[in-house]
Amino acid sequence: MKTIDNGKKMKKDEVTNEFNQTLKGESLSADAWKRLKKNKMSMFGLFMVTIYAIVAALAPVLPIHRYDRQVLEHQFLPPSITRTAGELMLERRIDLIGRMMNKEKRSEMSQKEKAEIADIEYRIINETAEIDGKIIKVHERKYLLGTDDLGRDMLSRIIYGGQMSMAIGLIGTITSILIGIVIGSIAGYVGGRTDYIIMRIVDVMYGLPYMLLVIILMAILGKNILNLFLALSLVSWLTTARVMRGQILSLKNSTYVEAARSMGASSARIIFKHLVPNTLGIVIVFATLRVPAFIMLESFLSFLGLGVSAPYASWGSLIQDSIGGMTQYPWRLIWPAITMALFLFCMNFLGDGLRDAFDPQSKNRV
Amino acid sequence: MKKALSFLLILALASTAVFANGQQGDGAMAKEPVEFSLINGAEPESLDPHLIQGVPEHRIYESLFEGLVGYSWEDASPVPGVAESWEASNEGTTYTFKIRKDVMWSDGVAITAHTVVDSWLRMLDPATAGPYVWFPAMFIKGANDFNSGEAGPEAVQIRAIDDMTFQMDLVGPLPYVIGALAHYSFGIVPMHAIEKYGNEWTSPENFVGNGPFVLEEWVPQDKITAVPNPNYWEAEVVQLDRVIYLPVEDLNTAHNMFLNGEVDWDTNVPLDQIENVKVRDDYWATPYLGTYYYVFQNEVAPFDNPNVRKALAMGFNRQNLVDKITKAGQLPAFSMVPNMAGYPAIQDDNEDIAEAKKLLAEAGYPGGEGFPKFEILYNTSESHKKIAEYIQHEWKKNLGIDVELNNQEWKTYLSNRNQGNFQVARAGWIGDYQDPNTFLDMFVTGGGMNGGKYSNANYDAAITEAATMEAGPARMKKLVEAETYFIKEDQSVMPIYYYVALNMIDMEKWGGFNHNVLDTHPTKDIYLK
Repeated sequence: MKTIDNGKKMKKDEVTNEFNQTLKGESLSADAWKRLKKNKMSMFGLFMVTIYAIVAALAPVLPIHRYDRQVLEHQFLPPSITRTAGELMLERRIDLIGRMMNKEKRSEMSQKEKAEIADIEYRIINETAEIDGKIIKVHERKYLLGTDDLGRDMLSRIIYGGQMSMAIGLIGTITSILIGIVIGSIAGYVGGRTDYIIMRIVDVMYGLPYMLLVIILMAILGKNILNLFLALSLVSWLTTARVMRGQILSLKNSTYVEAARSMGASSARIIFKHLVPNTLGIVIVFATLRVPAFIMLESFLSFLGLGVSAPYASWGSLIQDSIGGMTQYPWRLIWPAITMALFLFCMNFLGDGLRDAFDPQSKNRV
Repeated sequence: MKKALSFLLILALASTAVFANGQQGDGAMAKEPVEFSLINGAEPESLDPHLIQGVPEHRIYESLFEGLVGYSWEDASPVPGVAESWEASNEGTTYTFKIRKDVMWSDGVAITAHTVVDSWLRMLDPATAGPYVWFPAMFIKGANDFNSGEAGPEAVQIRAIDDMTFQMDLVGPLPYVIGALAHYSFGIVPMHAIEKYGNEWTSPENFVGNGPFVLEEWVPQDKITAVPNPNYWEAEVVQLDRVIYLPVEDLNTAHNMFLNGEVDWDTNVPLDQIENVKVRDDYWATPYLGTYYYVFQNEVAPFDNPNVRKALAMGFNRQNLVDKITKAGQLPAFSMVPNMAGYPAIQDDNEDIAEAKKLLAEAGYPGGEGFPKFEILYNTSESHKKIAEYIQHEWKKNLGIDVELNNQEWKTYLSNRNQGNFQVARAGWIGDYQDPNTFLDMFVTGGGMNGGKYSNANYDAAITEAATMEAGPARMKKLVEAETYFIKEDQSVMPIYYYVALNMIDMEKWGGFNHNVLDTHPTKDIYLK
């Protein structure tokens, strides 16, 4: 700390330059945030990710239909903002009958078909059902994004599916990053034989087909959401461990580490107090880019029928369910696909921006 | 809708360009060879009749081999094949077959009664380890002893009286035996070729068969082709010049191939397309001798209580399920055995939510409270999942019971189901022959397919007794009695619907193809109109 001889009493922490102006030190994260704010794409990404997170978190209180409530008569209804389920249902039925008449080369509906239409018309006005304890006129429901094959609301399924997908992305990333940090930093700091053994184990695990490992783990542990989290994180800490080891190797000979060591700090203290915080920038960037990877992985598993089990949904499982009828009922594919793609884009924008913001050497620095 | 159509149109245009080569059979020119291509589902496990199970293999078997009897293309009834006639004696427990004089293998070696004996002994030999060996073992006297290793091949009561006369003794007067003989597990195989080539005998260069067609080419995961067999005894009726089996497992891919005209016969329709194809002229949904059901694990609580099983069976609406989910005209099922000649199916519509709740309360779970969480096991498939989701929702809504779904890949699922590693499992059974027995005898105590571990002495007695009775109303009555124990008293399984066979084929173009309850369509009789 500089001593200043102009007689003014100064606060101990304040730093001034030769013109006596107070200097405010800028932390690495504040600096990064400043740079991130200038990156429009990343800010857009951050904004969208926040919205997604809020919507997913508030799903139970949002005014949406229940995601697992089936109204079989409302199956395959197209998206509509203004029209009620009843109208769409009737229209769909009439369309089907029309095509049947075409096939049988009739111009009139049969008695049975007429009676059916009349019955539907009557029920649209009068039929009630109990949903969540309330008696409502069931055919007056509206489905903004249409319905699926069992007459469930797509909007609600996409929101709840997002909850699941994002949770998998988040939990998977956090656990895999934690495992990776611990193992990678131990390997990097301790070095020698420990390093060699750990890194060879990582190499071997790298060599094994990633997907196959997850599938085998799922088969051994049994199929439920917890095991899915577990299996995913158990096989995905490898890259984090390598990145972490590299960082620690380059930092462990720094003077502040030497200082700490000379003052008798334990290895654990040096690693977790001094080294890990200095690598956090890299880790945060890496984590942001891992989240989409996890979501993709879960989608892939769902696509194979190994992901979340019904009636829960994830974006991946929603897309999987829709492909059979994608020519007839495109909204079942399009909405979850758009939702998921947008989220992945935003997450990647954010990750890219964070990398540029944290990395002093980045060429894209703003 | 227009968009969807134009999309299909684009697809069709694109693929005609790509697949133009495969379309020779469509040409109107008289000299063009007539090719008939069909979607055959999974890649066959084998072509050896004794080592196969499953429908794709069955379709190929029908072209390449012929047993003592075959299936009629019209109604799937048994018609003479290698045997030109037969007669029963000894109160229906002994059958004597007269072998055709002019039957031979595709390499010209003659088929005699000795070939049949050797073939069947190969099937029953425990060393062959055929997956369907239990089937012939159910019929032939002594077959079980040989197959289980308790006796030598001499115990099996089949014999060649002379070169042209074959005789077998049955375990009882099983009136449906002739229909069963058309099954591939009673196949006749070229022992001389098997001795020469070992396991390689089914590869195209070594292949020897006795069916209307012979194997021409087998490209795994791509296609199997067969061309007419000049040595077939009825070669003159075979009209197709080539049959092409395409192993396409994905129903949507298969469906699009059919729409594009790349295949002549699609053997299934994806669930989400049914509504759409219903208006087409080449879509056929016809009754199929099969039942879709859920089987309970009868030994594990709470499913060891018949009242719980009954409550679950009553607690959902089947009509809604077939109307809104499966959609192809399936019929709600309340019995294991579908309606058959002389055997009226149990038709009691026992869906009664109030009664189900009452039964559940009696079993100690009023309002579903305290009912342990359990899983429905099914093999991975879009339609099974949909049905399971519906039932899951209905049970939750009607009975307050929480269910989880668990899907497994086919082979894992099958072994878990047959070993009984489940609580409730999805199952389907297609009759092997046209008799109620095919739906019932697998549930006897200790049966290999009885994964639900159903065990009821009365039921076992009725099934065993029926097996010793001659054809007629008395026997049918005994079987009805057995099913009454099985379904009405014990509700060991929960029937859901009777299958329909779904086929896409242009019947204006192809003849010799008729929709029948076994969904069996021998290529021998198919011709271009």
